[in-house]
Amino acid sequence: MHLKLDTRNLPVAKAHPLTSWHGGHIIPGKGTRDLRIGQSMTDVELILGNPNEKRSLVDHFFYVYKSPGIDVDFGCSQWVKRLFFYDVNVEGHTKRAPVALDGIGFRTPKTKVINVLGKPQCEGGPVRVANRKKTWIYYDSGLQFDFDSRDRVIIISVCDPKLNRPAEEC
Amino acid sequence: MLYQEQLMTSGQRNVRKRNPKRVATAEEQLTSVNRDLEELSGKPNKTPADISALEKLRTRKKHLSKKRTEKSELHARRGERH
Repeated sequence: MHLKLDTRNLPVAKAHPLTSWHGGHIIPGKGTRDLRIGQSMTDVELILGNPNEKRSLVDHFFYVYKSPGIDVDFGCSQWVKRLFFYDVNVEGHTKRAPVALDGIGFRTPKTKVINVLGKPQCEGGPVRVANRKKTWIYYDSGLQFDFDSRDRVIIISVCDPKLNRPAEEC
Repeated sequence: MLYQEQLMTSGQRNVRKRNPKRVATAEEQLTSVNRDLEELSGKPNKTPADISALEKLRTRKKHLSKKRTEKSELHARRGERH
């Protein structure tokens, strides 16, 4: 092989996510103050750094950040479609995402979430996913909460409300 | 009459059957898989683990549907002759 074609010695950008992301308050349908729905891949990389993993699954492309506990779903485009914030040790995430919403955070009981936000438009589960039985509730504002078997919040996700079908069909 | 019918057919020994216990188990599991599949596919925001679980459930459904309709091997099969 010609030396110019040999790519083995090229510098490779290693994955090292930024640990300095401070998180913040979740805005339903938008994201957080700096990490927002509709941002580009470059914007996300500037905020969170290089992802630990890039996963391509049926019509979805994910940036997986294990240490801040965040997954970014780009759908089949280059723009953020959904944001997932995880509790520690949930689906392979090593740190809890530093986010909250009106006093609702991780391990908040389901009853408290419903008391604060009202009756959800869509409910589902229990289904066993990644060795954990979980249920979820979804609000038309684009907010979704996943609960563990003890009905405590383990995942908070945000999306554009227009993205999902109306909750009546759930 | 029954005797006549039996004479006309090739008999009951070589008819391909289904194992009723296996069918019942497959149906039971299929019901549970279908329920999970319906629940999970209706979830609005799916995490990567949800999508993987959904794919696994689809594969499992296909496998169980096959098991439910699968017939046993023939009773009398010609052995391999060298």
